Amino acid sequence: MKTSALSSKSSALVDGAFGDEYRRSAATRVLVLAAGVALLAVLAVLAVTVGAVKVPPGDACRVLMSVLWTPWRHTTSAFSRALIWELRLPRIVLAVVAGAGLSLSGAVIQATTRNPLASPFTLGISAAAGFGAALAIVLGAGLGGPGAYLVVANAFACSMLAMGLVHLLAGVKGFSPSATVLAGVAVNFFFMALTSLLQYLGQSEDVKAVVLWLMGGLHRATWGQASLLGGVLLVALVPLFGVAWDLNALQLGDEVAHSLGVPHRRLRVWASLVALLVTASVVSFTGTIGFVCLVGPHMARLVVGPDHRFLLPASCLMGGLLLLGADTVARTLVAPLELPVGIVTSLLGVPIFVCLLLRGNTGYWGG
Amino acid sequence: MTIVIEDVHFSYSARPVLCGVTARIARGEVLGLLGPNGAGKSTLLRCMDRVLTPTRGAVLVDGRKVANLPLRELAKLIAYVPQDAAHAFPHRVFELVLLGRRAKVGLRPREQDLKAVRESLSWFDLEELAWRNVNELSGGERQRVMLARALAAEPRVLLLDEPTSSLDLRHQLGVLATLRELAQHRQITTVMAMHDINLAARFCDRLILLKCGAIHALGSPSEVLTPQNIRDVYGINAVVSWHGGSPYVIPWSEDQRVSSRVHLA
Repeated sequence: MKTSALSSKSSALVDGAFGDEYRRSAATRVLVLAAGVALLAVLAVLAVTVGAVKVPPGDACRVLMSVLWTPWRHTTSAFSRALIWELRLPRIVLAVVAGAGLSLSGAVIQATTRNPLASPFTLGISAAAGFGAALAIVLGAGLGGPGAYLVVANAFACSMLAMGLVHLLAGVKGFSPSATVLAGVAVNFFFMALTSLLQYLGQSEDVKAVVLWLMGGLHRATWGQASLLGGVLLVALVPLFGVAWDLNALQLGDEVAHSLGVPHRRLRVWASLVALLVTASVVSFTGTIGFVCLVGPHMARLVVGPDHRFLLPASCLMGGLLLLGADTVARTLVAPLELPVGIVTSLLGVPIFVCLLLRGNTGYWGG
Repeated sequence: MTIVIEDVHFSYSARPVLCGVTARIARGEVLGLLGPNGAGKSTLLRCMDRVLTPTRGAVLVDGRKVANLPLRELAKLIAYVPQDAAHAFPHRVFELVLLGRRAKVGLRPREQDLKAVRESLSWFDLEELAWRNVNELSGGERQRVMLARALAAEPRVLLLDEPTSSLDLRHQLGVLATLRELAQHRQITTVMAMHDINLAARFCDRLILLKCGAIHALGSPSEVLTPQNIRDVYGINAVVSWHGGSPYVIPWSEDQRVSSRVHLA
């Protein structure tokens, strides 16, 4: 430090260099995001072509492009049109939006709790949804209409209950990050115990159905679900992206966030409510697909860094890629049988994650 | 900006920490807060930035009550650096200092934001570290990053909680000289809690000696740093000598009367 550090000896040249460096790093990250979108598109087309029945990539592209240009329609067979539009595409879109939603909420929960090990699942959302589903399957009781929607509605209602409980408990302690995580852990164990109780008491077919639900799956996908979850994701993403700077500021602690003009408590409450709402909506339809919401954001962070302006979209992309990849493997590996997607996500995701972790030099976890 | 602290009281649940602190701090002044552990230095700083709300009394900046300012407005006027900041995820130094501009920046930082960051980095010898991850830095380097973050906001008031606690000798002098210069040239009113009495004596215009949440002495370093005051507040016998126009305190021995009182209590 020199005497009279203020008499700025800086030339315009140095100013420019710093600005350039910053802009370059921002531009790189935008490019990475664009590459992610492209990769997702390629993977989606690939996913359309594979399965119990193979569709040639050319056919698949024509069917997809016929939305834009109707004459293409006549060059494709009614069978591949039906297969793609009615079966494969809804499932692919559902995989992408569900993965994106889970990963996005993971990123937000990790930000609001300042805890790299937290996720909507550790806050009890999945356990509660599992309990709701088990209640509907075993006892046939609960909210909503008959059949599958009973399960969905029940799962959603119970996760809302868990969300309320966590916020209530954490609220008593001023909604501090550690109070939130501890409240979540308590609620998580509570609902897991209730689910175990139901499994213990239930008939064996019911118990099997519960176990399958808990493993998660996208085989029930419909356009209705996919578009509903897509809508939820968009509605959540816009305001969350709007507070990206504030989420960054929150990482420096409550006092610093406050002095930077961020209403930290209010931000934490509503951002985590939005994130948990997204998770609850996804999980109610797909069952508990673990891993994505915990590790998706970490993988995104290893690629684009901790700035939420890039991290939130990157988390969405990473989650979408992960779940779409896993689901494609799950339904093709032993076709015509299917593996539960939850299992494949972890088996496939862990090696990728470990590779990124070993290669990354982002100084994570003191590394 | 002028800061007026008006009869500020604060208690954590039932335990009183501040009991009627009143002071007036002039524009561009550097004020040091001294006192033993638990005397209320940090609490007073927190009350000034509304991190805590006083149970009684008020803090005013340029005649406006801090309690009534919108949060964003407050952030533009006052920058506060607490003793320790959380680092859950590793930001790069440049990005972290840029966060200081949060109250002024939109989604994309503009030219003047980047310029303020660069300037701030240069004041604290951080240009070389700009693209490093914060968690690769030493404690002292990180402390300078947090100071740069605060000054990047171009605040009118700077509240610092032990700004030199992790710095080496050279950077202690450098940082305090820089802060002094900033206070003078940019009229940034600076209040810092400190433990090093001698640094405080050299770089502060005035000192507040806090004892049990109340002002024991307030005035220029030579008025405040008397053997009597130091014995009363810190419970030690000290020799006060003079060097280069400012008082210089050599802590000598524990004061027997005070320490026996502490042990009995």
